Amino acid sequence: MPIRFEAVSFAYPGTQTGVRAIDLAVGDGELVALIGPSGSGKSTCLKLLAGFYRPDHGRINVDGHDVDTLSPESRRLGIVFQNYALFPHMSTRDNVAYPLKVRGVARAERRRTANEMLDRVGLSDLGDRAPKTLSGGQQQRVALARALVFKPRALLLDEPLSALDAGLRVAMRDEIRRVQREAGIATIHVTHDQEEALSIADRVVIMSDGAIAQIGKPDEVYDRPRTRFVARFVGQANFWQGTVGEENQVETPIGRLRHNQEGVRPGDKVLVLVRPERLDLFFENPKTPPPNYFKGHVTQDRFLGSIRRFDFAVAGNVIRVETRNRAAPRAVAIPPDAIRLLPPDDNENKMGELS
Amino acid sequence: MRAVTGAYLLYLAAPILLLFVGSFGASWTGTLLPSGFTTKWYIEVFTDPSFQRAFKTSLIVVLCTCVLNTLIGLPLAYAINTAARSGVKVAARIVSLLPIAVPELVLAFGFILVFSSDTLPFLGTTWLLVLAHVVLTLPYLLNVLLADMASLGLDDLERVAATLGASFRSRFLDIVLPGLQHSLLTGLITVAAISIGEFQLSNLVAGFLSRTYPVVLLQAFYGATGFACAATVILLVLAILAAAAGAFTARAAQTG
Repeated sequence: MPIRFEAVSFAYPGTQTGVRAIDLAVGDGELVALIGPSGSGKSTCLKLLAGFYRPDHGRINVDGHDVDTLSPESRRLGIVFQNYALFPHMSTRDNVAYPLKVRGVARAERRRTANEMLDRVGLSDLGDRAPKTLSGGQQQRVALARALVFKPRALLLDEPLSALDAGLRVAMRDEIRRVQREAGIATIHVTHDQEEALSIADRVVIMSDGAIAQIGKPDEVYDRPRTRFVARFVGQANFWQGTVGEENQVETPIGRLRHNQEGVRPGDKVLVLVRPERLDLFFENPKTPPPNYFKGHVTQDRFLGSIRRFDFAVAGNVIRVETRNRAAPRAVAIPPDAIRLLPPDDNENKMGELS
Repeated sequence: MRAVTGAYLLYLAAPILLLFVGSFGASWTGTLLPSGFTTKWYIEVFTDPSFQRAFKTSLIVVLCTCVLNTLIGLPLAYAINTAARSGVKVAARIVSLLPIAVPELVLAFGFILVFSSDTLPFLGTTWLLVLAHVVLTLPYLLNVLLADMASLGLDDLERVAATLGASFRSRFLDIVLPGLQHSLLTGLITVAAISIGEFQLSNLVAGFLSRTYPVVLLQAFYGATGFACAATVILLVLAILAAAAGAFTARAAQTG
């Protein structure tokens, strides 16, 4: 395993903030995204790995070696910072060649390698330009080339796309993924953008309050979140408090729902999760109503371009629905397999809350 | 608006212009403008031994002040900038700015008290003068360097250089020094300009044989007006040269 965190804890001197009991392994060529709200500890994990801080407890392992006693310069990790941190007084090529220069590579050799690397990120014509004359996306690619040119053990990306505008951000995701695949390098990508994480990562780590809330493949954490926090952080969701009844039933404020989740017993208190895009819409009365069928009417209607997100009023409660359909339905149904039962949250007992 | 600006500029320029005119005037007593044209005042200033000595002293003091400022200011600014705790940064900045806030007179009396004692009998030496100038000018250099470090994002640049494998030595030579070369130069020119024109502190601390140019200049005003004007114009030219050099480097730094 190129990167392994073993029970790593760290608190910033004089504070309670930091990370607690982080266990994480990143495999060869794997891209793992760390997401979480600001202050959840995702950047701290990266700084610990880079060597800017030392863990208070636990160990960090890179390529089978403990790195906790190593300084940042001897860890051989390629890092792309949020603001790219390109050296302003060097040309683009010299920036990319710098890691080779400090390793004593001969001038001609490092020029050749830097040109190759610039070629790989599509900037072969811009080697002589000063970094500040490049666009944001180009600077980002220079930073990526510079972080990869010395064949590091792993690549660390610290919110590398947050300084770019929305359209460019999406294009750069693919670019990062392509370059990372070509290099076949273990990568940790820190971001607060859940869509970015789900779209490029092999696995996603959701962090909350300095600890890991869940690790899994993108569709796993989206479809089978373990807690309300995870469910809410990776996407839109309907939540209802519920009590499990007999025969795959669950009692909720909007009525009795059929589900088909295993492993719950009658009487269990649960949190019912339904993703808004999983609902079926009805524009006429069906001959035989499906399970979990609700008549009602649209209240709030929000047009978002590719989809529409509306609130559907049902018996004093609201179901949030997402659809491509432009017409207003007369009824909605929740397919039983769209229902996830999560452990109830102790400190939140608001009923029928949307997020 | 224009009239006010014009009047203000005239008010600023008038004494300087008068000095210039006066330095070439043959005689100037009791009239608004001098009469006659002569360059003898300049020749007199140049041949006056006490002015020659003062000019030399001033150049030595300026040079040493700049060298010492670089040797002290650069590492100090670096240390303040990389200080881990923000409290340390703030404290360091306040302490380093004190010489600007404290009246020079207070500083001078402090120097006199400390260095006229039997244990530290250095009052009147050129070295003490240099030290006094360093104390006075270091905050200006520190300010310029710290501002430049912040706008460059030097901590981030160094951090990234470290992750790319650069040792402290490489980082300092490849990243810190080249990054700061323009602001160091601008800062030193400010330092030189202040050191050249400094009067209060030098007047109290300097020994009779290590008087700087501005201190000797005061004596000139007890003699012929033309002589005093010529001597002042020389100081003015020096100061303007320093300021112009500063402006040019600042511009070069912006475009380059």
